[in-house]
Amino acid sequence: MKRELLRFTDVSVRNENQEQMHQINLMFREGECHLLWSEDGTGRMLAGLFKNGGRILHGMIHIQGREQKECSREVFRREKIFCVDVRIDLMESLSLAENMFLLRPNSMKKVWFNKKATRVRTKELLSHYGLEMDAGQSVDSLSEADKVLLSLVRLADQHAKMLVVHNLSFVCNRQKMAQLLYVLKKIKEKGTALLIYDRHPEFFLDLADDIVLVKGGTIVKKYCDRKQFEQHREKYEKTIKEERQCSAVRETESSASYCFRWTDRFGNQNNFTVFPGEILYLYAESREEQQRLYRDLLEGNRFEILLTNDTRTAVCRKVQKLMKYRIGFWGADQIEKELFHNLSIRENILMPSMQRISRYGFYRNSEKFIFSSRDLMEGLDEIESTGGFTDENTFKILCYRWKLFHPRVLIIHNILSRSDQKMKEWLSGQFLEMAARGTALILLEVSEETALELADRVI
Amino acid sequence: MKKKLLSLLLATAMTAAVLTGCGASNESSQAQEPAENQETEAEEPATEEEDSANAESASSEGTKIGFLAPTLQTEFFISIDDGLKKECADRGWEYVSVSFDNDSAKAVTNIENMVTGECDIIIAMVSDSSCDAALAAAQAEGVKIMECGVQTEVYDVCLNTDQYAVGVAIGDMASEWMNNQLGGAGKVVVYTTFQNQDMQNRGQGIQDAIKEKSPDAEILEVVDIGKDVVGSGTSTTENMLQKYPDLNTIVCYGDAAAVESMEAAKAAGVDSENFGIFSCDGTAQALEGIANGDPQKGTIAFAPLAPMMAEYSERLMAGETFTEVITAETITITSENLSEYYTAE
Amino acid sequence: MKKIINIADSYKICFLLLLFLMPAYVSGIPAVRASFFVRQITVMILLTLGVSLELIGGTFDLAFAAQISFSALMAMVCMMNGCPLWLVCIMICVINAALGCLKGVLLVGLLMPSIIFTLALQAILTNFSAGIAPNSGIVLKELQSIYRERMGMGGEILLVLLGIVAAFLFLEFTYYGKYSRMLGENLSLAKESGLKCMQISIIVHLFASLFFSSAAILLMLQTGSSNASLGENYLYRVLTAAFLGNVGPFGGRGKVSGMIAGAVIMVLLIATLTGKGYLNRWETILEGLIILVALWAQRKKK
Repeated sequence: MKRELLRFTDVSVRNENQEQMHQINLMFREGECHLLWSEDGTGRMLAGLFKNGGRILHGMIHIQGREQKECSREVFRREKIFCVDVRIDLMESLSLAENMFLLRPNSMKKVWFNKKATRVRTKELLSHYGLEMDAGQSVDSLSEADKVLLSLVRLADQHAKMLVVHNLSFVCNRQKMAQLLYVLKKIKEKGTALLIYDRHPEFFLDLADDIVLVKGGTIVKKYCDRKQFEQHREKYEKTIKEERQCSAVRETESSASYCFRWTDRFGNQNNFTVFPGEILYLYAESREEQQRLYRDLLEGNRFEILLTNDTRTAVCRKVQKLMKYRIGFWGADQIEKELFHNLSIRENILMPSMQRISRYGFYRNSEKFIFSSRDLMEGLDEIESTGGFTDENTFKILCYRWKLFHPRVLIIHNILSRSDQKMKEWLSGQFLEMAARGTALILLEVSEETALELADRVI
Repeated sequence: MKKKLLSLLLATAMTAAVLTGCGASNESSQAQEPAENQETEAEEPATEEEDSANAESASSEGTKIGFLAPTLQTEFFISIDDGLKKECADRGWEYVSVSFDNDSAKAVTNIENMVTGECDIIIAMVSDSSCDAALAAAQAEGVKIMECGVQTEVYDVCLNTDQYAVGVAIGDMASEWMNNQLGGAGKVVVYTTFQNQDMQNRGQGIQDAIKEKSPDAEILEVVDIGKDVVGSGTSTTENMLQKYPDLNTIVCYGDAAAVESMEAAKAAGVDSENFGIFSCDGTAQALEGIANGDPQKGTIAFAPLAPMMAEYSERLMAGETFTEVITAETITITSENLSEYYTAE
Repeated sequence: MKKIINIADSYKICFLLLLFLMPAYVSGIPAVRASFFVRQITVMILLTLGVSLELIGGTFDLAFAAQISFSALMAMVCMMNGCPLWLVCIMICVINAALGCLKGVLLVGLLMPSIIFTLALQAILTNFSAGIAPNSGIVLKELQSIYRERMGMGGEILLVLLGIVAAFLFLEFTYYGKYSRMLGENLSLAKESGLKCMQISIIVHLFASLFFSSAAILLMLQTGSSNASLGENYLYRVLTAAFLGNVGPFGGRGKVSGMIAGAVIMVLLIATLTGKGYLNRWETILEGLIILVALWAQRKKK
């Protein structure tokens, strides 16, 4: 009989972004793996609960039979329930082995640090989990996927009771994905419970004991039979495709073009051209490949963008001058940082467009007029009524910001990849609208089916 | 890795060369002595005057003077520094100056580094005997020590002033003005410092002279203005003027604080004719204040110290020894004799 | 540009400064006297080790000079009132340890920026020292003879070697040394990992305070005096030595070899500048420039 580790009984909980989940009934036993399948933000919310905590509004949470009054990160950590996402920080001043054994609550009575023993033990651990890394190497050369794998091994070695895995496929190519699955399998065999949330849950189907369908802030159904789940999934995706209609007619009658040229690290000249109203997808199979492309494109040598129309050609050679030429970039590593939390929602939307509205900063008069146009920002009322910069609102506010700015070219970096299905659908509609108005969109996404369907051209 | 190893090896080699160079410098100084002896032997038949002149010029050739001051930010010490620079330039000597900012540890380090820098004479204006060990080590290396301002146990010549007498002179000056201008009814604040015994003596001299020569005057407060920190005179005077509205006389131990007090008093709108500030050092700013009819009414100047220091340095290099402390003269400067010592630009 | 950055690597800055000093020695400035060099380098290395350990642990300490003068002054006041030397030495260690604990608590417990609270601490200690003593300075000449007779060059060399070995063992072979690097690099990650950051910070600062205590005792014995300004001028010299030795406030990095190299360079540089007569005008300018260049090189490398 497997031991119960964590139980949610009729729990209603609100997270830091005021998003609420209700009537959650879940039980986690040792060695079991639950896969979250989410059609909206609920899956992310549930997985995020273990990372950021939340406030219990109703119901009970029991960890190893003991009732918990709080649903916070510290409580989960104390009970050895950890959340692993793509953002893994390691200490660059320490070696890999030192990171493995020092990033944990060691006893303060330990004084002498046995380097050799640490390395030997790390080597053993790495070989047990099938990872080919050098125990003495520096961690700043590790890829994000390697850091994730290392973190999983470290937590497993700390005898974690349960691991919540949050969207790890984002940083994995095929090889790393295989390694990740192997590591998770080993961890599961050890008796650690797993809760997996991912944008690509299909990768984890073989590992999962059951699939939990969440929607609208609650658990809708639990599938123990994989076939049933796959039938449901097919039906859902068919519905999505039917709903997405490319209604806007995009005509590229203009003779304008935007040519991107750069020299990559190997000295090869690269270029591509995009036209107004076109959606171009720069396909990358893995995050490493995409990051390389991103760095070469925007941080490489002899980067230039030629903007040509009927009358003249302008050249932009510095990344810092992109906005001057109305070339926008959307998609910082931490998307929350693109918002200004000390400004209001409307000011955040207006931010890059202020100079165009009023050169001398008197934008208030125009503000009412701008926001009265509901065609441009139909969901704004809802955002303002809920208030707060929740995940969903963040995407919407940023999208409205770019819509208002109306750039010539908008480079979209991993926005679709970071979104839930519902948000992807919404964003697709917005991108199509922007393209219809003449904005050229360049999608820099990691292996994203939505992007493939949306794009006019893939290179 | 190889580059780091090379850098480390070079650094070690440098340091080793630096340390073993001690032997080379000792040998070279020893080599010089027989040569000097041979020179003096060859000169025997010459007259005594020629002998002494030759000996003096031979010994003072290539002389290097090191000046150690408590600070080089106040006019008094800057004037000594500039004066010494000029004297050394005239004599063809090398000159270095350092300040120790009232930090004994820095003073000790500076003395050692001046010895390393092959100074022949160190003019040390130390505050106390904390540098005695370093000065003794310098003497052991053949460096002559000239102390000025404070007398400790380690020196070859000491230029000093009876600080109590200086304080009495300042107090006398102030008393005379109070008796003539205010009918003896002076309200006095004394600025002194407890940095060292000499300064304490000066402060005591001021107070004793005022009590004796102006018995009707009232010493409202004796303020420890601390070390020569720029700005302390200003802030202290502002506080005193607020605290004692009928204050009409400030007697300072040094011109640095006096000049700041003068500016503060002027800014407060005091009646310059019936407000007197008296001090010591004879700096140009103080003299200018007296000339302009500002509250600064008098200062005690020392006979220019730099020429005196240079003269005694020469005598030290000639081999003269001094058993008595050399006293520097002082001059009382007020509006009556100002023209002898100050010309407006 | 990359070549320039590589050359400006902090470790190589030491090498370049040594090359700069070479002509001075070739042209005739003689070698430092061994005893002077040993005395100066002892104090410099001890202070550099202490400050560097704190820098590695995430504390940018501007108060160490004031701490030294305060503890030495307190010791001198007690000696004037009849306390034996051994007791005042212990007292200096205790005072520095207490101040070290305070720094540890303020850094981790209250998450105060270290540069701010050490600046405040420096102001408090300096003025407290100036205010509480009967005179601004106390001189006890017999301490100088005690120092000469009992300590001497051999004692200084032994002390500095002990300090170097202790610092090396602490950083490379103890958990606390590793933890101090973690604290300096990423305090929030260290907390998240479950480390007892407050205790670790206190221990690191206690260990650093041993070096400050040793330096305070040495300075007190060498000068036979103490005042509110004792050791004040070591502030920028030691920080320059630390940054020169590639110990910076950016990430828990630093090696004992770098600290020693930085200290040696600074001592030789000061000696050369004094001998040439440039110390007064150029010392602080050069120290500031070296700090800026070293920090820029470290940032670029990062």
